[in-house]
Amino acid sequence: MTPANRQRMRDVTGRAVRTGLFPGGVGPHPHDHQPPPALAGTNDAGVDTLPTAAIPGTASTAPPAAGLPRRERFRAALEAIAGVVHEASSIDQAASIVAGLAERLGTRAILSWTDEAMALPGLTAALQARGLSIVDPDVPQRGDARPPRLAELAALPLGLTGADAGLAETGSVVLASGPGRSRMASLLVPVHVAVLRVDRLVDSISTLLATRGDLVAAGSNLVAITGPSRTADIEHTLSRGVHGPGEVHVILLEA
Amino acid sequence: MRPARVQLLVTCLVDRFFPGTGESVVRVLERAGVTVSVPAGQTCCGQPAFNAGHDDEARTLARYTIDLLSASDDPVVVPSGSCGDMVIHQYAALLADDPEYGPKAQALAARTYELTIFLTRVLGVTDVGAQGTGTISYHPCCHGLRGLGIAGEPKALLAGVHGATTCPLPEAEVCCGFGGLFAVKMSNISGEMLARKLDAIEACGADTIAVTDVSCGMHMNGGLRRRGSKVRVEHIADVLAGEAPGAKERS
Amino acid sequence: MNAVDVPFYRRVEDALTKTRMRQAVRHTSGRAMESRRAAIAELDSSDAIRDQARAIRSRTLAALDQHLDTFATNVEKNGGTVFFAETGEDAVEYIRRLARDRGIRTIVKGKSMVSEEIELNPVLELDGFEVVETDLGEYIVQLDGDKPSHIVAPILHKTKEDCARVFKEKLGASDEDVAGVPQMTQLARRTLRKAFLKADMGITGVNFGVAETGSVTICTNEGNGRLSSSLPRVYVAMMGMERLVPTAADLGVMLEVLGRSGTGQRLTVYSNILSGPRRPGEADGPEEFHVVIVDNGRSKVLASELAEILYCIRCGACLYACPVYQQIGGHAYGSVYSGPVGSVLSPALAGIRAFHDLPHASTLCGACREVCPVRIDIPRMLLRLRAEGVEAGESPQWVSLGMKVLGWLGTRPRMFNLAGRVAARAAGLAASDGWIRELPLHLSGWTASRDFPAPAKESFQERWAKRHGGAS
Repeated sequence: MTPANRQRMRDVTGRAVRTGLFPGGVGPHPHDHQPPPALAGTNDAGVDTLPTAAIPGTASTAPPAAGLPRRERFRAALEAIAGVVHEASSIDQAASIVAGLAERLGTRAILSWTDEAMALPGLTAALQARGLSIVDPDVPQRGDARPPRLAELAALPLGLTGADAGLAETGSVVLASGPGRSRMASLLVPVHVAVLRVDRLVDSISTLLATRGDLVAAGSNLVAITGPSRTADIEHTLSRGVHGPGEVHVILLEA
Repeated sequence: MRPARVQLLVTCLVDRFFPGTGESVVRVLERAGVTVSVPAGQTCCGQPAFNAGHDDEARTLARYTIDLLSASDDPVVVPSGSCGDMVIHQYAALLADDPEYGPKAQALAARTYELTIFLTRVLGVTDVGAQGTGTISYHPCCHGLRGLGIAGEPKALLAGVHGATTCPLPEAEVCCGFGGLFAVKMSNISGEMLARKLDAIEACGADTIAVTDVSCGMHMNGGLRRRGSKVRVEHIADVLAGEAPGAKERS
Repeated sequence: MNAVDVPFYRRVEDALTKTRMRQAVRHTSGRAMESRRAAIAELDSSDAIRDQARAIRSRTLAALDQHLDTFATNVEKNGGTVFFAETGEDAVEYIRRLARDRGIRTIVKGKSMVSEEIELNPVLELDGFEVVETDLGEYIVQLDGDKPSHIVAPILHKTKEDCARVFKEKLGASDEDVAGVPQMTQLARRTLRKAFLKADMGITGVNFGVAETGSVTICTNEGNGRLSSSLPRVYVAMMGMERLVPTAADLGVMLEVLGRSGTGQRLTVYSNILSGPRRPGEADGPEEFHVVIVDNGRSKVLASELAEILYCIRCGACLYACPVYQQIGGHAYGSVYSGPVGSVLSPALAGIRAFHDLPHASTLCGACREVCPVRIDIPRMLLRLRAEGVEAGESPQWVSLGMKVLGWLGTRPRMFNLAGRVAARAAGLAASDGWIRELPLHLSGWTASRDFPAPAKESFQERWAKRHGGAS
């Protein structure tokens, strides 16, 4: 910002907040049908005979599958939104799963993060051993060569990434950008496969952001991906695979 | 401590349009063991002016009403969710900058109750000895529902009506479309909202719909009459006081 | 922000004739309300988290100057550029100049209400840039030369047949292409992909800026936000100046309620936190990262009793919940921001004269306040705006006169009662069986759809006085 522009922002905003009204409390209106407090000494028996079930909002609903281990909650949440969950107990097994998916899609070339980026040493070699080739994600930044090169990458059926964290409550995988971490691998391709180490599961987006602020600063981009791309813009009717991947697979890797 | 005496804020619509409902309120309160006084000289709580944005007139009427109800310390009972909300919440907000009436408004609010809240939460009763027939449903008028938090209280009282059954109203919590001046200023939208509410009322199978506010009630009844419907909306006081719901003379 | 020229009552009349639109709005609102109800109920003590979210908004705005300053510092630390646009024109100018200087040809846009508020697209298109809306609903709106009718679901008012017609007319789509919703979605994907791949500038809105990290957060379901902010070499984030939270932890709380309240999902598919241009070693990402902080009247609101409306996180729940919106749809409001939030925000930003009808298009039922994830007291502010309208002389004469009479009579109980008796007598003449079928003049709207009860001959207080003598 130019110094003048920044000062202007300070002045305008600083002046405004001095006179504005910023209520933080709930205000005088009870919400969600909270009954008014009974008078002290009221006939408690009378109050208790009120059919509380008839008063909406007083029944509490626990989050689904609460109490189960994170990996099971993660699976339930992701499967509920048409994601696919696999389990692997070794990097080699993960490679098998990826190779199987690639074969189903009829491809040998895939986009992928590097081993280092995924913290999964030997994964690339294991994939190559199964006949897969990892395409170089390099794309010219500008010029006429850029769109066709992007189109080539977009034509690849499968993109493979690691995951820096997983969110059990929503079935999300969290990916930070960085060296060797092509965004295209989880964005341009129709099928996204993420390998998530089970020990990286946390409960929810709020626990993640409260405890792993470092992930926000780690790269220029942090994304929580929760299942396949979707829209309900037309008559609130669900449709998958709009711009992002239409298929999302997560391989839960036992550390 | 159970109050022995209350003051009735009758409300302008009950006073001039539905005096029989006012008498039902008194009857129900007396049956519940409470003596009712009616401070003389009641006019209007000022809500129409307030809702129209005419704050000056609203304050004038607020001060007048506060004085009227502050001659005695007895709790105040209001047979209306919207007038109740006006006195209990809006007076203090309107008069926040008034060093004399601000505190008076708050003091009044602390001892003012809508009728069904008073019966169930203050007196602790749900059976007021009401007799009825047929099926009764309940439409929660919005100011009472969301302004005062009136939810299960009227239903509990209706469940105590001997001889009548109750049934739920579909889309109960959707506004009927009255909204005061809105019904006249935006009468086309109001009419459409009314139609939606009346469709639900006619589909629910009840003979009587109980409400806490005669204002919403007269809007819905006016529409039911237009449709030639046999269903009637009644103030809950009339249901609780009457021998048979649905048989209410008006003057 | 410009108000549409057609008076409100005419827009409403027009809207009420559009049966298909109204059915579409009712149907979709109903489904949306169901799914968000279930999602919100899942939150353990959803009241507490809404209180928390409200507290965050309250304290952020109360110290917005500091948080914006911190935000700007951190965006720049990440290698980004910040511009504070006091007016909509300032923001438009900044982006035009940027696009010109960088030799931009194609611009892809993720959803941005702010950009619609300041009417950015028409200016860029006149300049000769290709501008492509990439949110499916906004894309259809753009193709059809239409306007969005809901802040989260822009084509709430269109049936799928309407959408098929748009694709056939404007893209030359075949019948197979538009056979159903999945086919239309795939058609949009194919067409828009071409734009994504060639775009050199991406513009999106911002759900929340984060001051402590210098980040902007974009939440989408489609992936167009990610594509718009990852592929083009120049990225511009348009952020309303109030859309800020102080820390990443605060962001976490807001994200818990945004998806649930807005679309009934626990999280939108892509929750994207962007912190500057690509860093050394990163394979992709924009070279340039600009945040345009838009004021355009917000600082005026921030300084007022209506500042609470700026807590809004644009989830759209109040629109779905509003029984008036459900009848008339979004276009009738004549503003980018419609429904309950729009009925406050539009006059707050543009002045009460421009939108004096909107605060009255409400029964004050409170359904909006009930569903709001940050518990904004919209009815309070509608009443405040009605009062402002009266002060500005916008109250119709018959209402003003009526209120003066009410105020005068209301402190003179004998006169009040007399007036009631006179009215009862007059009405008695017009009534049959205690009901009046036609009211005169300004009150005739009532009797268009309902009868009106005749007042009683004797009031309750008159009877009481008779029975109890002078004593009460």
